[in-house]
Amino acid sequence: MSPLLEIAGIGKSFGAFRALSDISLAVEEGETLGLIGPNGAGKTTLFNVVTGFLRPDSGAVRFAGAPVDRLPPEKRAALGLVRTFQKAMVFPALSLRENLAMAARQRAGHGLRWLGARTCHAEADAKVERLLAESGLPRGGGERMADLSYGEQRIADLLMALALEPRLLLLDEPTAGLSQAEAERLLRIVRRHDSRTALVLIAHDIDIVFGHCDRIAVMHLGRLLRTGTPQAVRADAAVRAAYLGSLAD
Amino acid sequence: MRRALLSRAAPMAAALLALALPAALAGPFHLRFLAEILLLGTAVMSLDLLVGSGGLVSLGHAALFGTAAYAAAVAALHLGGNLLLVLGAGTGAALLLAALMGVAIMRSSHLFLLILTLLLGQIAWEVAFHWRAVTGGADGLRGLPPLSLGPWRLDGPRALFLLAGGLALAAHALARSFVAAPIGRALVGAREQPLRMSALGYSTARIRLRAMLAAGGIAGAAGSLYPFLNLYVGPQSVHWSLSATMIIMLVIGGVGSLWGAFLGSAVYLALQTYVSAYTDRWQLFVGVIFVLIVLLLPHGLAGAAARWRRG
Ligand SMILES: Nc1ncnc2c1ncn2[C@@H]1O[C@H](COP(=O)(O)OP(=O)(O)OP(=O)(O)O)[C@@H](O)[C@H]1O
Ligand SMILES: [Mg+2]
Repeated sequence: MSPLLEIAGIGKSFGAFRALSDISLAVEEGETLGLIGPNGAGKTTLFNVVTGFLRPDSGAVRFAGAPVDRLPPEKRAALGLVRTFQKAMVFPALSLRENLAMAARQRAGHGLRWLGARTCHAEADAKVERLLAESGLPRGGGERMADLSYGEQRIADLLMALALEPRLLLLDEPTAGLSQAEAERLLRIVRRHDSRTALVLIAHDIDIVFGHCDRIAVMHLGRLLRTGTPQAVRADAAVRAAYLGSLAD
Repeated sequence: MRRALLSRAAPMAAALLALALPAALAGPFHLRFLAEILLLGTAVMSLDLLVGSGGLVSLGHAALFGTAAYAAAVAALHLGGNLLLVLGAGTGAALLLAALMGVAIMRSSHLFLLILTLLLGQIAWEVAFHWRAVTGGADGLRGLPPLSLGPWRLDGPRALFLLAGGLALAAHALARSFVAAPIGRALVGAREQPLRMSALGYSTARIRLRAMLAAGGIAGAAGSLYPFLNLYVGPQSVHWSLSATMIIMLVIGGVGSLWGAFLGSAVYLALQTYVSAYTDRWQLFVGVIFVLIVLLLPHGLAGAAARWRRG
């Protein structure tokens, strides 16, 4: 069986600066892949290319066996290729419930409907209640997003992505700025949601990455340095030199 | 439950009263004047869908309104003043232009959106001004047949006023349902966080197109009846300055409230009509009054009314 996501020979330059060089990578159904590397290594840029927010200069992206290179971001999302952003990206002026409902309605195929609004809203609300209950957020849902704590906003951001029932979820530093407890809770929510969802997780917190991932890919200066199991990556001399240093000991 | 019913029934009753009272008491001049307020207010309210929900400021809204007016007038001249025919011709023409505008602004930034809608509006004006054979050029079209529905003639000021009132009520209900429906929420989402909307699988281009079609359809319906107030339509009704006037009406009434559009159009037209009777410098007076309203009431008259009601 072919992998869920297949990236082949991706290159991307900004002007004279090569942000990505010849990146090839595969993600299997249901696996959790950690993506690590120092600041500026190109991790977010790779997410942008995979999700269609940036056009690569070279290379190809296949999702679920079909090329997606020509699809705009929204079409890729509709296929189940879902991402979050490095900064929590929510609708600050809308309520927590409406934030999640925005995702739920789109997933149900009702995102642009005018007629039959009542049923669409009822369906979405039911799903939102389930997600909220599952998340353990001590919130009713009526609060404005902007009034939530940063950690809660990150969890809400994740819940929006989960409301789309992704086949592959790309999380860009979802735990940055969170306490250890909040970070653990966030990852538990992802895990509990659907075990078949494949996950690519960018994080700088080595404990989190090595603790939660099946495989780890290390990027450095726009190149893929090494991909392998946590033990193999931890033992790799080049990875140590470039990134982990003494951290991994 | 009873509260909810009351809070819904009360504005409806107030609106019906606001229509019934003038219909019973006002003279022909005022009835026509109120009908004009209602029709322009309906167009301004449809602009509020774009501006209030979507943050899409269009300088071409008069083109939708005026194109509908011309299409309705031309249809009436050739085929008679049947209300449904007139409404259909005008609204249909506006929808076509709205589709064109919607496609043009699908991916443009806010500045370009302003410019593109302005340019499309200018084109509509050029056509109205120069296509003499059909539009009458600078003279416009006169001598329209009166509106009718089956055996009834709808040409008295009272009939026209009630017609405009009915249209305004229906359009308001339609606009409210749009705002409350998933598409209206998506329009707000695309305004607030377009990147996130794409990542959620929404096509912001399609959201814009649909909003433009809804706004264009409503503005078109109002524009279709407009020529029959004075049995005349002229190029001023497609001119970009009317688009600008609509934006001013919207800001005075209160962006995002929908019903404020009617307040804004009433205040603007009343000032224009009554102040201009006293002084030739009415535009200066009116300008100062508008600046004051905008500065003192940043959420417009509707915003001030809402705050006053909350106490
Ligand atoms: N749109 C852009 N235009 C120009 N340069 C860019 C652009 N996006 C990213 N870069 C550059 O590309 C490089 C890789 O950036 P990227 O955001 O992918 O790194 P990252 O691995 O996600 O880093 P971090 O851990 O800090 O988030 C950086 O040097 C960045 O400045
Ligand atoms: Mg990054």
